[in-house]
This record gives sequence, C-alpha cells and structure tokens, in this order.
Amino acid sequence: MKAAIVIIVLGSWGLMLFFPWWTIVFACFVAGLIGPDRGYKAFSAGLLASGGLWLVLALITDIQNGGVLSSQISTLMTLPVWLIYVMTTLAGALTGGFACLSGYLLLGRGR
Amino acid sequence: MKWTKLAASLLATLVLVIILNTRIDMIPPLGAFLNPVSGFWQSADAPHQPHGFWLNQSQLQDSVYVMFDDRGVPRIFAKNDYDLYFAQGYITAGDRLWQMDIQVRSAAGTLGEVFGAPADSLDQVQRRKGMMYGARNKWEAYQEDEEMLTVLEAYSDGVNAWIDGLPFRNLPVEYKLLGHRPPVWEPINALLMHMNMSQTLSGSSSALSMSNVRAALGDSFADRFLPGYPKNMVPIVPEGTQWPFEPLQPASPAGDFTPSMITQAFYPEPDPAIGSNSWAVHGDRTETGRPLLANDMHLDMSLPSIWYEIQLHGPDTNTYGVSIPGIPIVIVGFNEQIAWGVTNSGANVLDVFEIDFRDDSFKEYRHDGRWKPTEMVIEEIPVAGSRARIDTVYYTHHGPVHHINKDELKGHATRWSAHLPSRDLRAFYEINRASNYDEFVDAIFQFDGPGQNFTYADREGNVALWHNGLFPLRWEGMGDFISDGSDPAYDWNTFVPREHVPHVVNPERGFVSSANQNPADPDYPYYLGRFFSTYERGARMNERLSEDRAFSYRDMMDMQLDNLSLNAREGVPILLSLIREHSDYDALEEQERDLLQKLESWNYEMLADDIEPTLFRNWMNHTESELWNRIYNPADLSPMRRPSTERTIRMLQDENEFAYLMQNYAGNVHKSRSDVVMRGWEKALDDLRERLGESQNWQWRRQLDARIMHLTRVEALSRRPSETNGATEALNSVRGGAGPSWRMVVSLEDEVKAWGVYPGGQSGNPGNLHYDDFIDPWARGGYFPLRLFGSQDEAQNWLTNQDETEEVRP
Repeated sequence: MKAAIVIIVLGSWGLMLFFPWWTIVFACFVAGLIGPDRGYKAFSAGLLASGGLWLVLALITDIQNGGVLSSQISTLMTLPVWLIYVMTTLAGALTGGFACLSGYLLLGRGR
Repeated sequence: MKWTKLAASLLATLVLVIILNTRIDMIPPLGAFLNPVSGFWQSADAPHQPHGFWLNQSQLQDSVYVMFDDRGVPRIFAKNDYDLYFAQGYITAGDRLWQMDIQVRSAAGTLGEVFGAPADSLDQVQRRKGMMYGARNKWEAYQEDEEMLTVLEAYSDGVNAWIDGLPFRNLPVEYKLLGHRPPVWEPINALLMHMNMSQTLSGSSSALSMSNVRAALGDSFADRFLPGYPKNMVPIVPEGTQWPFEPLQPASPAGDFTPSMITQAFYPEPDPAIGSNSWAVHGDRTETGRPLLANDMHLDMSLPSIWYEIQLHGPDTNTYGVSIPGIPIVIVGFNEQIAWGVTNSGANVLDVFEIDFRDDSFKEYRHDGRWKPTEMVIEEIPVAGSRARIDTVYYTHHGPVHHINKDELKGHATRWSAHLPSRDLRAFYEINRASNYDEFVDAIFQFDGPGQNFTYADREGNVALWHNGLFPLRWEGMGDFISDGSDPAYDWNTFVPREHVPHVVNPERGFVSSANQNPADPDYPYYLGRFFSTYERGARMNERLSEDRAFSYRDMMDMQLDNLSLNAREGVPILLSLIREHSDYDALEEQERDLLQKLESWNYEMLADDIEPTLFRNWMNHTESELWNRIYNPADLSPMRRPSTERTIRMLQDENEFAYLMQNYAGNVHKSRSDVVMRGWEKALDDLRERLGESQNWQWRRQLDARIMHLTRVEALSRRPSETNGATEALNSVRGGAGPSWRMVVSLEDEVKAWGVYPGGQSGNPGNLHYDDFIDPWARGGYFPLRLFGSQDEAQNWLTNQDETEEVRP
C-alpha cells in the first residue's frame, strides 16, 4: 500500500502539472495494478493519497496567499471556506479511490 | 463476478471524471476548478512585497528595470521606446489581463464568444455602432506614423509575451470560472479600447428625444425649457473673452427638416454623471507661489478599475500617472516639468441621419438629389454554445445604418467623429514628453476625440485650458435633431480650425477650470452642439476658486471632496417657502414638520449619514415629475428629453414663468406652484417610506448606493464602501456605480509633488491584496503621495530603504 501511495502522490502531481487534472486516474490506476492486495486497501489508498495530496497542496497555496482568494471564492459560491476544502478533497479523493480500485480489480492480485 | 466489479468501478471512475469536468450553467467544472495544481487555488498571488527586477525577454533591445512599490505601482526604466512600451504591455497584462481581454471584446462585439447568449445582443449593437470600423480607420492612419506604430506594436508584443509565459495553472481566476482562454493580443486592440472611451464620452445622442419633444411641443418649448445655454451657466472660458479670428461660415439648409421615423432610442442620452472636474491655480494664488493642478474624472467605477497607475521612464520621457489597461502611454498625469488633466467636452460629435432607401434591397439611398450605393457588411457574431449570429449592416457615406424600417424603406445612420481616421495616441505620446506650454499645445492639436478639456500647468508658472478636439463645422442647431440624410447641408464637410477652439491661458482671475459645462459664452462664433451639461459643479468650483486666499494642495483635495449641492442651496428655500403657502400646510403631521425643520437648518452638504440629502433629492424629483408630467404625456413611451433640475427650480422661483408654462402647455389647468410642491412632498414621503421605511433609516448612503462593481457584476467580487459622501451635482460627484475614478492633485514646485487615489487597486486578481486596497482610503477622502523617481538609482534606493507610503488627508 505504501508503494501505491507514493505512486499516486508523485504520479498524479506530476501529471497535473502538465496535463488536465483528470489524467490523475492513470497514476491511480497504475498504483492499483501493482500495489494493494485487497480491494478496500486499493480504494482507501487512492482515497487517502489523492485526497490528501489535493488537500495539502490547496492548503499550502492558500496559506501563501494569506487566504485572500479562497475567501473570495467562498463568497462567490456562497459556501464556507471549509466546505471548499471538503469539496476539493472529495473531488481528488473519490476520483483517486475509484481509479485505484479499478486498477486493482483488473489484475486482482491477492485473490 | 470479477469483471462486473471491474466494470462497475471503471464506470464509477468515468462518471466521476465526466461530472467533475462538466460546466453546469455558471458552475465551473469542479475538478478543473478545485484541483490544487491548475485550479483556482493557483490563481492566487503571494502577498505583494515591493521588489525590483531586470525584465528578461528575448524581444527586448536593451536592459529594462522594473520596480514595484509598496502600493503595487510599477516603475519602468527603459532605454528606448520599444522596450519602454513593451514593458508597459507586459507589466499591465500581468496585473489586468482578463479585464483587457473582456473590454476589447466589449468594443469589438465578441462577448458572445465567452458568455454565450444573450451577450450576443450587446455585440450586435457594437457592430452596428461601427466600433471595429472606427478602430480599423484609425489603424490605417497609424500606418503613416512609424514612431507610433512602434509604440502600438511594442505594447502588443509585451502583452503577448506575458500571455505566452503564463502557464494555464496561473491564468486569472475569471478565466477558470468562465472557462475561456486569453486570445493572441493584437495591436489594434489599443484602438478598440480608444473606441470604448469614445463610446463612453461621446457616444450619446439626444437627437431622437429632442425631435420627439419638438414634434410634440414645438420649437419654442424646446428653446425655452431645454436651452443649450442655461441661465445660471458659468462657461469654461471667462465670459466676455474676445475671439481674434475670422470664423469659417457653414452653409445652412433651406428649411427645417421634419423626420418621419420615430424609433426606440439606440444611443443613450448624454449623462450628466459622466463628467469630471479639473482646474489649475496660478502661482500668484497659491501658498508655494507655484501652480497647482487638480483633476478627477467621473466615470463608471469598476473592479478592476479603468485606471492603472504607472511610471514610465525612457530616453526622453519621465512620466507618472494613470494609464488605461490595453492602451500604451500615460493618459493623465505629470512629468518633471508639466502636469495635465482632462474633462469631457460634451460637444456634439455624433449625428443621427434619416436615410431614404430606394427599394427593399437597401442597395441605394438618396443624397443630393441622386441615388447613391450603400456598402453591405455581413457581421458574424460568435456565440458560445450555439450557432454564430449573422447581422447585415449597411454603410452610407455618413456611416453605418443602425436601424431600418423595412415597410417605410427608411433608416437611421450615424456620423460619429470616432469613426474618422486619427492618431490620437500621438498626442499623449508627445504630452508625456512635453516640457513647456508650446510643446503641450502642439501635442494636443494631434488629439481628435473624444473631445476633452485639457487643463495644463507647468513649473514656469503657466496655467491653461483648451476645449480640444475635432469638432464638425455646424450651422446653428445642426445635429440637435434627427438630420436629413439626403441634404448635403447636413453633411460634415469641414471642421473647426484647431486654433479657433475655445481656450484660455493665464487669465486675470488666476485660475482655469472645467466641469463639462459650456466651453464659452454665446458670443463664441462657432456652434458646437446643444450642450446638456449642468451648471452646478462648474459654478461651485469657480465659487471656491474665487475665494480670496492662498491655496495649498490640501485645499485642492478639500475641493475635490466638496459635497455641497447647488441644487439644494437654490431649491430648498423655494420649496420650503412654497409649501408653507399651501392651504394644507397647517394640517401636516408633526413628524412632517420636523422633517421640514431639518431641511430648514441644513447646510446643503450631501453627507452619507444624514437624511436631509435623501429628503431633498426625493422631494425635488417628485416635484419635477409633478410639474413636467402635466406637459409631457406619461403614456407616450417615445423618448423625450426633459428639462433639468435647474430649470425646474427656476420655474418654481418665477411665478410668471410658471403661469406661462401652465397657460401654453398644460391645457390651462390652473395649478399653483405650491400645489405642485405640496403634491411632490406627499409623494416623496410615500415613496421613501415604501423604499426605506421610517425616517431614521433615510440616510443618504442608502439611496446613493455607492458601489464599485466587478466587470461581471458578480456581487462577491464587488465592493460597497459605506462611508462615501457626495452627489452627482456636487464636486464630489458620486452617484451609485459612477464617480471620481481618479483623484489627482499636482503641485508644480521645483521638484514636482503629486497626490492621487482611485477606487480600486493595482491588481485585477481577486486573490491579491492589491485588488481593492485603495477603496477604503478613497472612500474616506485619503490620497497617496505619487513619487516620480528621477532615475533608476533613486528607485533602487527607495527599494533599499522602503519608506512606507502614507495616506494624506486634506
């Protein structure tokens, strides 16, 4: 599972720098192919690694900015800032989770 | 089983990606928008610190140094013109790219490409106004001016260099919200921005509404109640000035033309809120013995602001002031020798012509007794999410036809000075470099439009003002109404020679001033159009400038913030005296008498926290409706020009004038002045109670509604400063979303000193602390010192020491 997390964090970060955000599914899928030995482990590896990456990167950027933009966006969307963080984390987490699970299910190692 | 699970999981992934990658109406695709690597998070800027750097771009011919000060104002030091204006384009795009893109689209008529329907209707209007046609004519004119062509291309190259170096993840957040990308920047975009300014400042017409008034009420009504030179007018050039030249004489037509086609208004009426103040005081009358110059331009206040502060230091120029994002060069400001300001002229440079078509092919129209060919232009307006909108625009020798009546084979065409080829930016290029009065005058003669009052002051002690622009030679009344498109007497053949436009240099009274009022008294030999300027700001300005004292720069600030309403000072006493004459006065409730008492002791200052301004304004408005609704048929929806507040007040002051109006135009209804005023009072109170509740909630700020809206009108990105005083007719001319968009005071001492502020911030990025940081200082009447660094070394020294810029108040 550790390998899967490393692949997801580095892979999807790298992909997002150069390609559209949804290309993270490839990194997560690959991680699922070679990492976890249980379905729930694959799903949670994708969930945690991808969601965590999105959350931490968003936090770092926001703190550097003094929180100015996130508060503007929160007013704009009429949502509290914490909910923007939850949505950001969930978007990354769910996409990562299902992509990783898909990869695991294709090979089905550990069964 | 395994394959079912796999399929389900793959499907879930796919559906998630599709949902998170799809725009749902105004909700951006959430995956793209929220991801932390290329989503909105990355559009945030790190908190700004003053910093300097060498600009590193391959197109540059020499070294360029840029320093941003603590307010985010860039100082550019370059060694040739190309580098200087390249850097201006590059740096401005860095702060204002999205705004520049949208405003160019707004001029060119390509908003629909971003916003989809119904924005394409706005685009259609711009196409029919000939905005692109005007920009192209100007672009042709610049082809003969190598120096200016370099400036335009350099600026454009700079903007494109910024765009090319901008990774998707750092695009301004508006692009991510709306889902579009910055297109390649074209040099002609600067001229489209110029067309935008022309549209704001000279793209209005009262020809239609005046024609309707004439048709309904006659010429004598129009002349008496809608005069082109109001009785209280104090013109820009002192009354009685002699004009030592032989004026050109235009040929007038044989008779009056009666237009046959009444349409909905295509052009807005001239708006008195779009105005400005500018004055300059001679050194004899200032504390330092040197001239002072002040300018505040009243325009739409927006976020990002229409203005961008900048210092441009080149081989033969060192200028500080405000620029317009999208246009190179400083537009209003000062250099080491001179300072200048502008207010809008209000002279008529847009005529509407009735066109007679030969048949329904619209291929020919009548002119000078012959059929002449039209030119047909197909406009293709791109619309996001649907097919392009196709519009056909016919051009006559006057200009584009904006409205056609197919049954009657008639149309309305526009002749507008903004369509003419001109190289107006050359004027600003040379003003930036001017060091004395003669150079300044040579420079402004290159400026055609939109016509401006150019105020001037220099270190040698001169003050001057030119009502400057390209004005068509007009016979008395030409263009006031819909013009006859078939009669050559209505054609624009020649223009007022530039040396003959109204101007004044070092007048005896010791100051020059303008507030968009009539440029000269009726003895001035040229007809420049029917001015609908109001007299109030001009009169108040001159009243204060005539005070017998030595002025300081703080006095100039205090004047710009002057909230006194001349309408109130003239109107309140007559309203009060007439309401007391009324038989119902004694029956008024005590609370209403208290309100009248408040007005009695009021000082006529339009202050945010007071209720008197609200009370006065509503009473006046309803009294005006009461009076003029008897004359104008409110059921008639065709647009008609109405008399000004000043004219209404004079009706109330003059019993005979009032009787004349009632006898001749109100079907002999015998109403008294006090009836009108009492009825106005009752309606005003009803209206106020309905809108604002009880009288303790009638603070002026609630009606004034000062606001600085983001260009998208999205509330979250807009600001509403609550402590803003002022009124349209006060020098501090705030009205809702319009007001003093740049306040500047310059003291022409040995080392030129200046102060300024605008309601916005240098950065167009809502995620930057400089997005809105000037708004609060602006709202409370603060100014920032504007330092003109003499050299790059001075700028770098400042960077080392970093003295914080401290707000100054009058």
